[in-house]
Amino acid sequence: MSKIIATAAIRGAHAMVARAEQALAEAIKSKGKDAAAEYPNTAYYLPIMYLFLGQKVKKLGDLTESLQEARKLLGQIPSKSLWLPYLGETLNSGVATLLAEETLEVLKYVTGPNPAEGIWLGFTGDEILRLQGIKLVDGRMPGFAAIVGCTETDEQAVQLVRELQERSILVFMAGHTNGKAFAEQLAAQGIEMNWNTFLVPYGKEITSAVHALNFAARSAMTFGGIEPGNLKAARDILMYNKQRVYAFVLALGADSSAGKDQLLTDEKYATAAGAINFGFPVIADTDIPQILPTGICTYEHVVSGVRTEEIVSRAVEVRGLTIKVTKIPIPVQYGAGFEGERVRKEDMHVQFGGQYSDAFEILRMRPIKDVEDGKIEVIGPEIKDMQQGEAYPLGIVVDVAGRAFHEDFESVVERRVHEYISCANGIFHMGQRSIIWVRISKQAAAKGFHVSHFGDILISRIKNDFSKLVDRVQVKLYTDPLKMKALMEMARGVYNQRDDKIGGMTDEDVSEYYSCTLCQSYAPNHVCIVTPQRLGLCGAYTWLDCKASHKIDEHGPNEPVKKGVVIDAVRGQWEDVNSYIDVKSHGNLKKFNAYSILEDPMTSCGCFECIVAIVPEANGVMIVDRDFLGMTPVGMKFSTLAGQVGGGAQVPGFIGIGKLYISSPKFIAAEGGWKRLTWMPKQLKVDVEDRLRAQLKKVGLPDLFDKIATEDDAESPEKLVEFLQSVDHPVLSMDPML
Amino acid sequence: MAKTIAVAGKGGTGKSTVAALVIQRLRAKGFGPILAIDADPDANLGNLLGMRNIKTIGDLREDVLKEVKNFPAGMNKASYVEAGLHQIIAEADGFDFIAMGRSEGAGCYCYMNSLIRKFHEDLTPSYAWVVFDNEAGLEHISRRTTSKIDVLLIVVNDNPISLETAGKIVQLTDSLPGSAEKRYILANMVREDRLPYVEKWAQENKIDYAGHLPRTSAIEDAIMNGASLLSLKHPPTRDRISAILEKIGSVA
Repeated sequence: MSKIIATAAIRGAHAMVARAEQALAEAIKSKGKDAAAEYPNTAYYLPIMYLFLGQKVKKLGDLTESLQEARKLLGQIPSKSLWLPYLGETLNSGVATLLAEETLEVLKYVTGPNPAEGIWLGFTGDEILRLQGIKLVDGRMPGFAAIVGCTETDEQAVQLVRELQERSILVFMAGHTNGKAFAEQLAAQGIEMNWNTFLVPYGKEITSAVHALNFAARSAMTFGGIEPGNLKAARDILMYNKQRVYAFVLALGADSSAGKDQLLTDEKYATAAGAINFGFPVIADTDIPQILPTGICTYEHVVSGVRTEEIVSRAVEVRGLTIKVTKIPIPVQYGAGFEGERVRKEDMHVQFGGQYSDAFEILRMRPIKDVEDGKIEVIGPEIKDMQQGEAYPLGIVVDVAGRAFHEDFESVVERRVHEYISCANGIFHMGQRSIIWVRISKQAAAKGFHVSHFGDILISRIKNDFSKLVDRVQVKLYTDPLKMKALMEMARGVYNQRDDKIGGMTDEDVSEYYSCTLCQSYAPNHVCIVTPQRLGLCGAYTWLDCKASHKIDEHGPNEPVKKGVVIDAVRGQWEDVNSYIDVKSHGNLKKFNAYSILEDPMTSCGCFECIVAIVPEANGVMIVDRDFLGMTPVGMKFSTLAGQVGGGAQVPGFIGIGKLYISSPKFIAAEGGWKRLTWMPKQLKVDVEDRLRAQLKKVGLPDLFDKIATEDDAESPEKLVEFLQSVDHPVLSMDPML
Repeated sequence: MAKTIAVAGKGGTGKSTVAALVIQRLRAKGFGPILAIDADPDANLGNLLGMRNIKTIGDLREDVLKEVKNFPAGMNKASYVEAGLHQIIAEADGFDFIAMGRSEGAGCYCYMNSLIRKFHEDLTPSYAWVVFDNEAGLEHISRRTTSKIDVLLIVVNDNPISLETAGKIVQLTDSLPGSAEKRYILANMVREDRLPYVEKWAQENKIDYAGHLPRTSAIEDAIMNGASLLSLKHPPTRDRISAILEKIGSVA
């Protein structure tokens, strides 16, 4: 264990805590003990205090206690002549340093200056933590690098960061060396830094490194579900990070103010000691002392003297990261960090699709003999034949073959094309099917990017990600306008076929439904359960939309809900769905029947497209939609009915539905389905006519559509019954509903 | 990370003019790329920037809601909307422009608004500056379809009611903590002798005073002639706007 490191760390911790105490005293003097001490947009108070002390800091006065605890953790500075075991003291000093740094950083939000200034981002809110942090946990991002200091040249900085981006490693930046910070070097080279490019500059001072650690702390609290409050929880959080969050610190450059044996300031060592508590090792490009034995960190703790060109691969080894680098043979960099970038018109070399030209992408399954593995063809002009600033047609046709591949997988793989292409640096891709928009930037073109490279990207990625299903991939890129047009027609035909097939999907075909809690801000106890045959009642979300939304944001408004054991197939009740809604509706709803209107029907939020209500006199139901302003046979207008039905109330005899549900075979199937339908406004009937007629024909009720009354035929229940009798509506011979 | 300046105020105080002049100055100083957002359903900023016939987000919203039932079953609505939102961005030299368009009509907007919110979050990091032209109700801020604003510039003119509106805006942002980092009053076309009154009002309401733009015939002529304010060459205005930009600390 290096005495030099321990001494510097403990000394640095003393200095940092003293600094924090002074800053706190000044802040209390000017703002008072009761002034709020909070980070913006977080539910975790000050995460470092919460983690290590179980303390929920809210006011400046609370920080006095935090710093008292920090002081208790400060070790004695080891004297020159005495050699004592002081690993524990060093680690504690690391914790004290983090407490002090969290204090100093939050004070910036209280008394200023605002940490989010210029290129610096300051504290990361919980929203971004959830959106991006999940990638650390599910493996999309193998880990994060916390870069402290700067490289010798700006070009080295760019090279280093590109290596990290290629491995999809998130990059946090804090601190400087002799006044220059890594983030400043990147900014000088025009590199875009924000959460979309995975480059996050926290602050210029070493204290802002605490934001990387309060992020790590919150990852364990959110994704690990570990609630702080005692020593065991604190240890669990640290272990979570050691075992699941593959982070490391890159200490770059030598501080001129530090001694020759140290090369880095006390404060940097102190902060590093804080990071080591989490199992995050330090890799340095200068000859600082090393700590090679394992223990707190999985492998070495401090490794030094590593050349800038090798530092990323060495760091990956030391931290024990497993990286799958898909080396794609294209002249631009490639990685998840480039997915969000937009190429502006001024930076664009050429573009395809959007409002400017025709473009489409399609993936098809072919017989194995028809696919030549790895073949890429550009049919039509290549980039060298294209004029800068112009738009050209583009058809991307991907043919795949595989013994285990199935036609149903076509759209699953096709949906990834967007992600695959956008991950190339300098390439913009938006949309899907025949509404894509692609841009090649001037920088990418200058590096030698060709249209054929889209083929290289797709072949590499598909073979990498779908190796079990796909044996051969070939790509044809059509830029010839006539040939492209013919194929686009073919593609559109295929899309329609797929839509029809999915349109035919039944509830029985799937093992899980999706929930939607999008309107819980308006109706806190309402949750929609969206099935393939029953869409969300606002009309916006189908089962597929929920599925896509869940893929985009797993912590968003849509979650998968397992069906579990079927309790009642006719009424549509499932065991696990019931348990789910009990929780999500905050105990409001214990069970519901998806296909019934009378028994435990589904609740509604307040913005349904239509309301279905029973008309007891007619032994059936009527439907009224939001656009109909007139009176209905139940004696209430839409707005009055809406008041009865909304807000998460379960009202037997009334349900809110989406328009598309009217033509669903599951439409109040529990009570007999369409045969119960007696009345609908004229305009609504027109809207659903095509779909509903088709369905009625399928079940042998072709005349039923015309037997459904409208406001022209009846407005009162008596008149309605008269009408139904006159057309011999099947509802009259059915069992009583009530 | 994008720095956001939002311009708000009673209708007719000259917000869009101020927004256009701010964009002109930022661009001239090389602070780009800039994203200009016209969040006023009355949509004037586009004209002042020389952009015509722009499709708005409101148009897209209505299109999607109308087509919802005809949407192809296998197509993911969210990508369709996302693609549509990207296509709405009008591109020009040194800046891009989006018009929000009409506010919500009848119907269910939870879904669309959640997509628009995400779009804003994803889009703004690609720009160094975002300049927002708002209507007085600041609907987009209260509905959280936009994210945090760094500088809120409230424009007032000679009409005392514009100060009342400014007061309401201050109250609204007070009630939404974290919505606006710093707030300023800008006096536009206010008579010289009334300026001290405006400054005093600012002091009493604890809002900083950013400066003033007097009635300027060069600007009025440009607007009358339907010319883009981006090509306005008027050194006194240029200097005044620069001073205001420095005052609001936005010049990095």
